[in-house]
Amino acid sequence: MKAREELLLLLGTGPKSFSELRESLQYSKGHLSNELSTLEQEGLVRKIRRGKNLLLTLEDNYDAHKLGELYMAAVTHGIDPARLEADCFRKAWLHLKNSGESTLREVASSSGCSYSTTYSIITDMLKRGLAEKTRGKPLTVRLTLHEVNRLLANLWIQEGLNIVSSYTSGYPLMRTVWGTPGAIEEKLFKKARGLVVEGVRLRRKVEEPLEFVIPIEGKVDAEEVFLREIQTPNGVEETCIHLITEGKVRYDELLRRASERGLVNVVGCYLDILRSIHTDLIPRETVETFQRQVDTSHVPQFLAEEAKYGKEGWEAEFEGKWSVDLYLDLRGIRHGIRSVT
Amino acid sequence: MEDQSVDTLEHIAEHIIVIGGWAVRAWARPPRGLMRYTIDIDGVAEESKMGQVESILQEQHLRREQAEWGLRFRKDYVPQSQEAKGFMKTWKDPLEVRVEISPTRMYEADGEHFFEFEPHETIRREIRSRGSRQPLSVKVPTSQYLMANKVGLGADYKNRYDAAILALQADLEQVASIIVSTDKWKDIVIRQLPRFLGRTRQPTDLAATLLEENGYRTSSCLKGLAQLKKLLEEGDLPQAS
Repeated sequence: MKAREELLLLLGTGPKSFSELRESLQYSKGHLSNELSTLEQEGLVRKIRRGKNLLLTLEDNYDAHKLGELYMAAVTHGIDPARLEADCFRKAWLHLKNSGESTLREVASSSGCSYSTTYSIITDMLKRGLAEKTRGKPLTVRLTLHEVNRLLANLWIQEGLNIVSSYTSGYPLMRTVWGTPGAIEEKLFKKARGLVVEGVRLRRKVEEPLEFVIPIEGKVDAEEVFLREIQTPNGVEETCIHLITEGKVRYDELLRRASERGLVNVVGCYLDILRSIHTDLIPRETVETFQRQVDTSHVPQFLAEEAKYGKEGWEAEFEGKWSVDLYLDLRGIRHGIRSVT
Repeated sequence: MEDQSVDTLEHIAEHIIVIGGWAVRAWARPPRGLMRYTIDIDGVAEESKMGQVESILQEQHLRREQAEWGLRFRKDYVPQSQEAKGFMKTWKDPLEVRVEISPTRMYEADGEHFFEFEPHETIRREIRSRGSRQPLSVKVPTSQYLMANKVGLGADYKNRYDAAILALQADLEQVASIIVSTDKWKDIVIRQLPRFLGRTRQPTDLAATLLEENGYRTSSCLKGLAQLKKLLEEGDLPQAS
């Protein structure tokens, strides 16, 4: 480990005076002083006064906090944090994160690092439990659910948070945010007030805009949010409509994922209903594309949780066409469309 | 933002009955003191006044839009104060003041069923924006009429939130009488109320969350809605005058 990592690790355990740091580490006074100065400039470390003593501590920001947490987790698992900071390690790790599973050659090619360096990185990751082998020949690996991988994702992956929809008329002014748990953790760190997390009773004071945060595991993009929200009343009456009118939905990708999850009938039917209320919302070709992939071998309920309210009498036309059992509140959908068009 | 909405409303206030967010605002007093936010203007007007309302809004340089059911206008919100400009930087999405004025008889999409606001069943109340401008006196329906309309609308979280608040103060027998006196509105309400109740009872429901955030007890609000449902199911209600 280098001085930088050592300092962040030590300060992660609490504020320390400069003399305490000097007594704990083997580096010269000048070297420590320079490193601390750099860390202060990076906004990771700051000075505080406790009585007569001047102490150094991690900054009160998310990055410093997560870095300290990462280094502690790394060391406790026998992983040198300095290795995590290496450029080739980061590139290899990001490639595996994005690709899911890769051969050694693919990692090397993507990262631009030599085969031998990549080999060294990957074997070390395998040894430390950060990666696991999925195939022997050629050697193919993927990341594990190791705590250090989770913390690295929090620090290195920026796309975990997605403000997919915003509402102009709220109680108070409110926007909905979908995010991975890591991204939501960052939000909790940065925002003390005006935050509501779905399913959790936070007693925070209200501050506008109020952010209503919904955790999603895995990738957070418009299609993922759409497929999650289409199975909820608020989703079909507002969120999915917002996603469509904001032009965020890629219909080919939506179809591909809906097909994988057996949701083509439901999604296609929904798009067809939207188009029937407001023709300009959904292109005719899009509805037709979904129609060509309807699975008539099963009849899913849409929305299952609203089945207890019965039907209203308009459903038959769409049920026959899309092989679904419909329980939607058409008035709610109309209201949702009207509010954005 | 609300100041600009109220500024626009002031020009047409004498010619319309305000419904929607501003009307609920006129009636609601949340325990935590945080008023229901709104920027849209919803109202109804007698047929004879629609032309005048339209002229006034056009003179105020609002953009007219097509709407089969009445008048629809929009205007971009332009932040004036430093605070508002700062806020818009964090909000990032454009905001508009939207004005929708319908006839007093509001038809459903099927063109057959309707709800009607009675011009004589209104009351003057003050609405206060959260900005710095003076309160504005407007005509709003009674809380009974507002609630009777709300519970027949779509069961989205906004309507459920409004209905829940109104249930705390409206005379529920009068609400029920209004509902049964209006066309086939009772059939629609009987169908919608179970959704209003059922959705709001869900642990992660947004309307319930927002009610609690503003200091309301969701259970008390739902009690009122349940009582209304019972009144309608039992029948034997006097017709509203």
